[in-house]
Amino acid sequence: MKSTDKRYLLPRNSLLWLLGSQTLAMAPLMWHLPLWLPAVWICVMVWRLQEFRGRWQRPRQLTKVALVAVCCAGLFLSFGRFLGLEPMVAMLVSAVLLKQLEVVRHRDALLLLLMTFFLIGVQFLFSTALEASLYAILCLWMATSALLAIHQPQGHRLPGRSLRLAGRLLLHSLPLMVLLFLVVPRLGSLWSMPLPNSGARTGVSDSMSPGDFTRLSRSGGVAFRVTFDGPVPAREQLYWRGLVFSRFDGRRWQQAHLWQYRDGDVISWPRRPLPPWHRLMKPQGDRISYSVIIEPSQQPWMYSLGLPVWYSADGGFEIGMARDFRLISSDPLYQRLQYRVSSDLKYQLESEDLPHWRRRMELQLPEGFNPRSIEKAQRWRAEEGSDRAYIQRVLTLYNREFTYTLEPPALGRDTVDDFLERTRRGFCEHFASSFVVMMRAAGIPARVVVGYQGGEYNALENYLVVHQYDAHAWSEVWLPGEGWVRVDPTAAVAPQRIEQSLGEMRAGDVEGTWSLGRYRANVIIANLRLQWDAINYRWHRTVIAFDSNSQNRFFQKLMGDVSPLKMVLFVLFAGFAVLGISSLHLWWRTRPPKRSQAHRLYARFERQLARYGWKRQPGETPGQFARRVAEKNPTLQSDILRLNQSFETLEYAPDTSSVLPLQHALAQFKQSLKGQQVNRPDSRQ
Amino acid sequence: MNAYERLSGYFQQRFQRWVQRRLQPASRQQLNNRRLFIFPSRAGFAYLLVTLLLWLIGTNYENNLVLSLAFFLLSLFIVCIHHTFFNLSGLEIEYLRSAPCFLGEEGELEMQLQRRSGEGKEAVMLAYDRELPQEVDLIDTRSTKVKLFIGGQRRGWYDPGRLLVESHYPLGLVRCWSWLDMDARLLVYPKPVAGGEMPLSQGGDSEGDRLDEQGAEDFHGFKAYQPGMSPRHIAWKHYARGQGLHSKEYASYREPKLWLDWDALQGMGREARLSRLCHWVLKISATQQPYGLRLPGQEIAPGTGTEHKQQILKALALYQWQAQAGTQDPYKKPQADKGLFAKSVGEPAA
Repeated sequence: MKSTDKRYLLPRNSLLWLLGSQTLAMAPLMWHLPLWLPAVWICVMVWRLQEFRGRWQRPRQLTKVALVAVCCAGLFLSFGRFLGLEPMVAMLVSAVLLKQLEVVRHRDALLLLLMTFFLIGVQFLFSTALEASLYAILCLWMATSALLAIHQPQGHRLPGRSLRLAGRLLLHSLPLMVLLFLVVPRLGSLWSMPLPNSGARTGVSDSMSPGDFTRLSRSGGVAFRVTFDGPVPAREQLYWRGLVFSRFDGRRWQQAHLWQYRDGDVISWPRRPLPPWHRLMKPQGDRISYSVIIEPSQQPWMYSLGLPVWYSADGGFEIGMARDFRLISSDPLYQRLQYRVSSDLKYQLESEDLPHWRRRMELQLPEGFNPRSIEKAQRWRAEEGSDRAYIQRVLTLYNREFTYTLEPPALGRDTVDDFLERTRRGFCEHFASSFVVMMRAAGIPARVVVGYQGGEYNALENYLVVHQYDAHAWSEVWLPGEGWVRVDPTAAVAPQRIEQSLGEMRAGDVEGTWSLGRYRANVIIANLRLQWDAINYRWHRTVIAFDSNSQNRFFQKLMGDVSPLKMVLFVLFAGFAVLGISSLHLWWRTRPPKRSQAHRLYARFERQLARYGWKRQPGETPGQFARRVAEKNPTLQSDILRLNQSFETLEYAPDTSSVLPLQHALAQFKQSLKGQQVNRPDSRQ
Repeated sequence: MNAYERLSGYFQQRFQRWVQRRLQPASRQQLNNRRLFIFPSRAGFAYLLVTLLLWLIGTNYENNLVLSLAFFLLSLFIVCIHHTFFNLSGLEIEYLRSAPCFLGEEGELEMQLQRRSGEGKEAVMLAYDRELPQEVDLIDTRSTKVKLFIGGQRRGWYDPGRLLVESHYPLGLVRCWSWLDMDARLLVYPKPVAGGEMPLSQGGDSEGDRLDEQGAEDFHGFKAYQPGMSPRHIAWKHYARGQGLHSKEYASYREPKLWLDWDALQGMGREARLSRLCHWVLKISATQQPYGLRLPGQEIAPGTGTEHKQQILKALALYQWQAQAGTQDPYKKPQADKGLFAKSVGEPAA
């Protein structure tokens, strides 16, 4: 092999480093990408590993062309478009995989590792949770080690050393990174970027049929977390409105069609003229303010309490108010986001007479469904004197004869008839649905509201966690003069459901096997779970949500009023301090090791002799030196040899001998030097 | 010459003068901040580009974690500058000796690398010729020897130019290097060229003088026996034939003395003659015959052995040689001929 080529070749084990770091960086992306990519990935891995073991040849041109064709076809068939985050990431990943197949030289490996660094960044577009960040640190560590290993000619012998050194590099860079994070200005979005849209939709969906909520309650996970500016309201106040369903087809509840509303825009966006229906909202006090950090749900629903009177969102998206008085986001929520809301818990909605078209919307029932229930509702309404009495009678019926269960039996075609007369066992959606049908049949405008109810209070960071199992459906009825009034039939059946969350009542049913929440009966696990969630929450509040406002607040707190001069001084000072630390550490590691006491004493002996021109030659042992000096100075001979003797004893048996004889010998030698003529060495030496 | 060329020439000159002042020749040098240069490598620029891309993505998505990653990569880059510098800083390089070579072949220069205690030095590349680099690690050991190769481009004392000491360690993002003048010399013999008759001195007889010797091997003749002669040499056959007592006499001839002569190669140029002589020196030295060399104004008495051969080759190498202005390295200023005193094989250190 010519030595010219050697420079560009890779150490053998770097292949393992490359494969390892790449696998780590890619793994979380695979959840968001089509299934054929992992297949290609496994192919490439197997091929490279076989190559590493010396079993297979490097792939030939034909194989590579075939793989490129597979990737191109896969990309085209899965997406059919280029723009969008997923197609771009899929393309990047395929490029990395194909490149991996032909890594031979140093340059290829370098390119691959740069792509790996990029992929680590792409991970964050899909998840910003604390776990994802910790995982990314692991990825970074591996990628840095790989980059280090390809520059270590002996790296293959010392993989542990590569890891350790990379770890040190990471630790050295950390303080500087924190500084940059704090001081580099946030410019805000420069141009619009494609957003991820692959994740499975979670949480409440835009329709409700029997069984949906039972499933949702078992899907696990956190829906959102809330911090209240004041005290947390009572549990029975915590009805997080998400969607309103007015349209029923006998089985499924859905939102009203947009064209059904006849009074202006259905959604009122900020900085646009207010639509006429805005005056139908009448906040009446009991205001609370809170901020919500919502997990990505791939849906635009934003949850709020009571009647939201003020709302704003961090980051580049907007919140609008829908015609049914709930909040909606301009884009589906693909990332964890934070928004702030002020709500009035006392309010009146559409308290004036409903116009005819509104009444028709909220009284709509499908033709030919649930005849017995409709007949019964009309009979009961006629028997009772008022709407309120009628509502009370229906709720009493639920309370007496119905059972709240997580395993409701299946329902036939006439879902409400079946539920009210046959099964009588149901989950929140059964009660809400049947209750609204009973109301509408009796001529009382009513609708189904879905969202979440309650939440778990975490005292560590003073916030409320709302889980998916808190998903809930209830109803609103319209009463003359009062407007829409919340009625929760589930509360009538199972008041404990409102007082306690399902997670507390039936943790084994609603939490996954691997979820800590399932084992919350154990005190340690319960604490651990709360701690972890608090850390995660804090992470989001301090790191993910750190924006230019937080930056300003931070610097104001640090140095009073912020001036450019102060900023420059701060950056310079902190920068030098931070770099100084790592430099100091490096210097500290290269300093000479501390000499033993024997060596220090011997050095003093040498200094004494150096005054008379005696110097130990390079390569001369202390014994040789001592004899050389002693030969010329017979008067000092015994002292010098004794000193040398005790030094050597100490040097070769440091554990068993004491330093005292050497100290004595040195003192004795100094004594003898006094008033003594010391012969100088020969001039040629 | 246009203005740009003049300007760049001026700056180049300034730069060379500055480098010369900064990097003085010495056979033992320690790398420190005066001698080391540092600059991002091409990989480093690519890395910074990726960092910039990540920053753009982070800014556009307003994603603090992507931004953090970009900041982290930038910090890593800056920290890397320190690490790369400290990897070379404190390294001591000493020029030990050189082994001569023939013109057009690769000569060998031996260096000793030494580090202080503490952290090891890794992936240090040394090269006189960038095509022939040597990579050295000093992880477990404190010092090591390394042989560097360089093609002998000119006959005589060849100045190998400056030694490039370079490292991209740890991450390859930053290149730290130095051009050291190790005060090294390489003796380059003429290139041996086969052909022609052996260029021997005219008039020298090929038969050597007879040398009477005890213990010689060649039979020479008979001599009347006198008491005291070795009985082993008595020619018993003659005695048996009744021819009297004779003793066999042995003699050996002195080996023919070969004088390789410059003048025997008439009608050839200087270098061609030297090449031819060089070839025959190698050829003869493979046998045990003593040989000498006659150059105009110079004569080396016949002899044998490695040292003799080296002496003759050196004479050939340095025949009518003068130091030329350094042409290999623009940074190196021409130096007076002190080559004969430089360290080299077969000579005591000055």
